[in-house]
Amino acid sequence: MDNVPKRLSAALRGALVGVCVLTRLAFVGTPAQAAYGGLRLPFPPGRAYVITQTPGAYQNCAVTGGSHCIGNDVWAYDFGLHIGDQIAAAHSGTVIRYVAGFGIGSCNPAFRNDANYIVLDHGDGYSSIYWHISYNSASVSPGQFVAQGHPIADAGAAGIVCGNPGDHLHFAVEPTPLDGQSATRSVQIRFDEAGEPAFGTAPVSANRPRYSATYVGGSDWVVLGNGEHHATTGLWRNTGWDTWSQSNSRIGTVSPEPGHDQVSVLIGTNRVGQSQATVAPGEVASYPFDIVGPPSPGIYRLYLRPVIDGITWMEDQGVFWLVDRR
Amino acid sequence: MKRLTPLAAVLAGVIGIAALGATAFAATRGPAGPATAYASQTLGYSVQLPGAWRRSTVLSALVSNGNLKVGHEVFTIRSTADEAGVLNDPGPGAAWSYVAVIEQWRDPLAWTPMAWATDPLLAGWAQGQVAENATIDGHVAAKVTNGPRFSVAYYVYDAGRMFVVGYKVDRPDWKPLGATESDLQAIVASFHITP
Repeated sequence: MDNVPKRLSAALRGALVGVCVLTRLAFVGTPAQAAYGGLRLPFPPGRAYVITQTPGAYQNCAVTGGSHCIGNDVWAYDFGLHIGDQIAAAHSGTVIRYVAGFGIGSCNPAFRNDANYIVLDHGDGYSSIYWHISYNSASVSPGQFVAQGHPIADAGAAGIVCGNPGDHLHFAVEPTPLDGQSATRSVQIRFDEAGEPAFGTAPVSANRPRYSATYVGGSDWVVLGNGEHHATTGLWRNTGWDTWSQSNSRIGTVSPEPGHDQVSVLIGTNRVGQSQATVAPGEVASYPFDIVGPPSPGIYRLYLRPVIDGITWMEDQGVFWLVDRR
Repeated sequence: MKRLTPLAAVLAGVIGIAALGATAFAATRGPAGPATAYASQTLGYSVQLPGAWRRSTVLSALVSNGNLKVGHEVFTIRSTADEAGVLNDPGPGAAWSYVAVIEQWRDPLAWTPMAWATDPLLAGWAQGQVAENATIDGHVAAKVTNGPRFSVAYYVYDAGRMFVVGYKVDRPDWKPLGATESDLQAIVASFHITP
């Protein structure tokens, strides 16, 4: 008989624990509203600028106040760019708002409608806004689609800016404004390389450079006889912000074999051209070529690296074709 | 003296709160009345302001900006106290919603209104904006709807000057009590260039 209450008590404890676990699991299983991602810091790679104002959610607004404590700007960031510093697209998108005709503003609210700004529509219901750009400094045109990392404009101090001259970049992501609206309420965001950076920090941008390539495929191990041909194609993805053109997009020979820019006995040249007329950011370029078995038997390697001729070599990922000449 | 029943007390309270609310509403909206004329000596124009509409000293700026802008004046239905309040929270964007704006720019090259209104650097650009020929104050004008800076704006050239006569409604939840788009349209329609 003594055991009955104990069993009841144990059963009750078990039930309570079960309820707690289930409740906890339910809580854990409900994801917090995710911050909008897929963004890179809105300036060129390698540069770092101080966060001069975070979203209001990360400020003690009751004490400090601040323009990001109110209105549309509650999830905006201010970066300490100076007049003339380049702004880069934090996300790919289409230019849907463009104002660039004003000079230096002031802390006076009368300058609200004299702000220079660009809005990029990401195509997913959200847009990024780049506020206070310099007079006539836009690097984009109305309606233009730009890739992530593409220059947007120079930073400036147009519109409501406090300080002397108060230059900075005000950046936010908002639901895409309807026709006739200049802006909507910003949403929580995070940057791929910096998360949600804190006030006073200076995160380094890992935004896309103008020219960048990532190997996709095509590398081969080929067994050939003397003079025997083998058709192959190298594939690289354009991971920069500029479009590659057939006129100067190539893969070129590199070290260790046959050596930087050296003619290869396997292809009789030091360059292979891109097959497509243009390759936009995100697209894959094809570089077709023929390998010919050389006269002497042996193991040969053909190392190749993408290059924009006359401008720059892109990433060397150690990609090679191996030829077993028997 | 007869005491109020609990139900009557509640009703009286509700009526009292409603009356206070109505008073507050009327005070915020301001007295309705005939239109009054406003003439700008500096920028050289006049407009008719309906009812409680007034020139905003806070949002107007008679200072040059950029290469060509001479200045602008803003008209609001908000009281000075209400305007100060929304500037504080939710911010300047709200104070600038439901306002009429008159700007004057220098136009030394005598651009036509349509050329000016559709030049992205001079007037800005927004996807979906509509530019069409119009007339205002008897002048040839360009009308742009849903532009980047105004819901509706007219561009009017006169003697080396380009006037931009427009209004902003922006976010509906920032609409001040008593403001109507027809009031804004009436202010714009009353625009008159003065010698």
